[in-house]
Amino acid sequence: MTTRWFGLIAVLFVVALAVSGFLYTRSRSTDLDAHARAVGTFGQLRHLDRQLSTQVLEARFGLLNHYDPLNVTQAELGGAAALLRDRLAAVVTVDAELEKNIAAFTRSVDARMAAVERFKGENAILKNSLRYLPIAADEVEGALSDPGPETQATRRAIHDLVRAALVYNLIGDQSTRDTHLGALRRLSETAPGQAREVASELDPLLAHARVIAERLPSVDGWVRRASSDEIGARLADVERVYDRLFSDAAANANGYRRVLYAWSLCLVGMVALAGLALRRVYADLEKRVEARTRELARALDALWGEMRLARKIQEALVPAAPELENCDVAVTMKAAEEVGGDYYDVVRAGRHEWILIGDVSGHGVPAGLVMMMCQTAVRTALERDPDLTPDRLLLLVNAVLTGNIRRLGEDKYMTMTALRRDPGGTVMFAGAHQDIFVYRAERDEVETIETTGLWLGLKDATAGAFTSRTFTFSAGDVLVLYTDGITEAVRDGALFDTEGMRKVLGDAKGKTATEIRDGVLGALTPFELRDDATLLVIRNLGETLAAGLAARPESARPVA
Amino acid sequence: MSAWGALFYGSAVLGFCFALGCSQSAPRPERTGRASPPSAVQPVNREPLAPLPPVGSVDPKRVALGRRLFHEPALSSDGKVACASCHDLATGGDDGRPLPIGSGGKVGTVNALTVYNAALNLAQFWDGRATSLEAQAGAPLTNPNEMATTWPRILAVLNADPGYVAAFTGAFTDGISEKNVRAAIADFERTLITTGSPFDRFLGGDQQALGPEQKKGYETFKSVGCVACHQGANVGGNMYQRFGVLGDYFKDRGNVTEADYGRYNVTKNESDRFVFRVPSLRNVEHTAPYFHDGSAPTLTRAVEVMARYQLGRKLATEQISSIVAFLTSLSGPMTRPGPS
Repeated sequence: MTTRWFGLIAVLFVVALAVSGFLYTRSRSTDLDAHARAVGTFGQLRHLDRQLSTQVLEARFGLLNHYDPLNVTQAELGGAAALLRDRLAAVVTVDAELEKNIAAFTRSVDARMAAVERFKGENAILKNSLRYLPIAADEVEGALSDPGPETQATRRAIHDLVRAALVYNLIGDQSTRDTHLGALRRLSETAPGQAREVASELDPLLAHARVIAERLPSVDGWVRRASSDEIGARLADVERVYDRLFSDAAANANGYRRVLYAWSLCLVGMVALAGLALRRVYADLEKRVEARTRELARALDALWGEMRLARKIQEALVPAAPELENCDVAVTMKAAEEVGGDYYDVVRAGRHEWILIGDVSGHGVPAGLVMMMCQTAVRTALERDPDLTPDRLLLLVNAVLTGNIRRLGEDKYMTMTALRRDPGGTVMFAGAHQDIFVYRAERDEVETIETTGLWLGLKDATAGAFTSRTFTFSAGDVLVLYTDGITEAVRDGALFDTEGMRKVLGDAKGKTATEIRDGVLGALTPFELRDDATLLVIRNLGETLAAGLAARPESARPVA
Repeated sequence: MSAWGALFYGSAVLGFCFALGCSQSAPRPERTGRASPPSAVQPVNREPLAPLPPVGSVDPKRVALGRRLFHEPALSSDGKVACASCHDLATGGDDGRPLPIGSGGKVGTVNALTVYNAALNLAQFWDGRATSLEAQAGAPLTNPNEMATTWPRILAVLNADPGYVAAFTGAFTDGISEKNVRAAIADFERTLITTGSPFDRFLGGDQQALGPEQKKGYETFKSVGCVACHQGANVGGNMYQRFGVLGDYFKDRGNVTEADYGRYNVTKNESDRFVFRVPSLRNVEHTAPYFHDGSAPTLTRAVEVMARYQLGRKLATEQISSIVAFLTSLSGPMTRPGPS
């Protein structure tokens, strides 16, 4: 159900995003920056068009030294014209009419360029002849040495021709042209009668006067074409269509923009509604979380109650103040968690006293359960047969534990050493656990006794899996049993280890079991306990020492 | 200035003002608010020639690449002809022959133009068929009379050379392409401006830059009408003109070929027959022989022919020699040749 809701929300989100994107794109269809560039191009083209016209006129009347400025303007005009279509297409969709008008404009630019080129060539020739005509006239007059009336007439004809040519160049109408042609004809008529040297000077004069007559109408024609308003008119056509398309596009975009605004308002409304709905859902969720939290707290309390009960049962099963005949005993057991896996017990069975110590792998409730099974199995076995040897006891306990652990499906096992104190002052022991420390009072030294054998609960064992050995436990000796929580306590990465234990035991001379235990605990204070930790200290008082201890009630009393 | 000259000049100014007043349409309002062009009448010096402008801004990497390509014979079909074969930068930017010799010994149809200052020309080639240096730069590569190769072959040759691949990658974002080959060569040619000639120094105010004969030649150059066409910074190159304005050059020379039609071959307009782009006279003393057909072996001969067919006059020997003296003042420092 939740997945369907999430899917629906995702689809709605994508749809909203797509609609918004579409509307945003359409509302921006008029790029104002591009429009500004397009309008700027129109202005630039008009400016260059007028500048070109002006420069053509300047060139025609000799106010432009050379054609380089004209060429620059032509190049700029050609470049701007070539850009026009792209500039417009960046703003509007170029329709057939705009395309046609742009093509007409481009043709008008090409025609203008061709006209300017023709003008430049023709004007150069005309200018050359106009420039040379007065010089040629001076050269002819220089050759007219005869002062006769015919010479004077020739001089007048030359003057008339030059004047007529210049006026014709200035005015350029039919009347001045006729005057120029008349002056040219009159001077030409004098040529055949001139002397050879005069005639040779006269020929270039007449040739250039004819060039003026021929070229001037042509040049002025090209001036008119090269400075016509054709480009302006075609550009206006382009601009008119562009303006219409731009207005349409802008109106279209405005429409989409209004829709976008309305759509945005809808989205805001929907988001607000969704927010309110979410707030209600959130409030409901908060209530449910509070209820669940309360339930969890109750469950946790119950669990912790059960845990505490389990610990109480465990504590009740191990003897808080174990007693051994003619011994001073001190014990401590600290569980790493609420329920630990360490095990110790002291049991009197028939003529023997049993001391048991072990450690179930792991800790917590499962380890505690295994430890309880072990305790029950030990006590049951000793009750049935008080004369069991330690190896036989462990064989029986292993059978019980292995079967039970297998049935529980737990991955557990247990180390355990069983020690049987016999009346004759010896201790028989079997089973692998930690090394046994025995402080020998007679020699004032600590003896370490290794333990060997099978770990319990791992597999079924047969006779011979455990072996019993013995050691003496004389008056004044101190027997110390412990679990690995003691030796594996850590400080700055270093273990307390058996050496820590041996140091304390090395000073055991004359100390009570409690003092020795507290000495070990004191040495452990700076260390961090990471596992269940059990320490059992048994001092053999012997008869004489037991009598002395009877006067100190705070110490462990001898077994009654 | 003679009385006639004063009258001519005064009439020109009046005529211009008159024509301007009559021909200009009423100003249209500017949409952009851009200012109207400045007044047409501007008091300037009257010299029809101008100093060469400095080299414009170009990418040094492209210029270096263009220089290498310009000197690269491997681009031609027989691997023997480079751009520099016909445009020797050490000797005026041309080949000194009437007609160039291309791959396989094929002879071209028109005289090789100089590449110096070509960037300032209105258009490229004698007939102006290339309107940009980029358009010009690629044309000789595929011309069967010149380098006679193809673009696929050129691109294959360049792509096979790690040096070229690296150079193109450094100079262009899209590496080796026909467009970029043209652009690199064109940018290199844009640097071939021979600024610093004696004449440019003279125009800049150094009266000692020209000798007396050269100054006299400059005055003659102007007075006899050469400047009508050879004008501007490049002393030509900024307009088209018919070869044979006041005389029929081709009739007198005979043996007219298609190449003689000039711009007509581009526009197919009858009025453009025998019309050519006016060549620049910069460094002209180094670019003999002259004209599109390479028919004038010396400057003196070229000036004589021009005077006769373009100006309609026969110049005196001393006029010609002074003009030639002036023309030598147009030579500027040339670029060192070589691919690097």
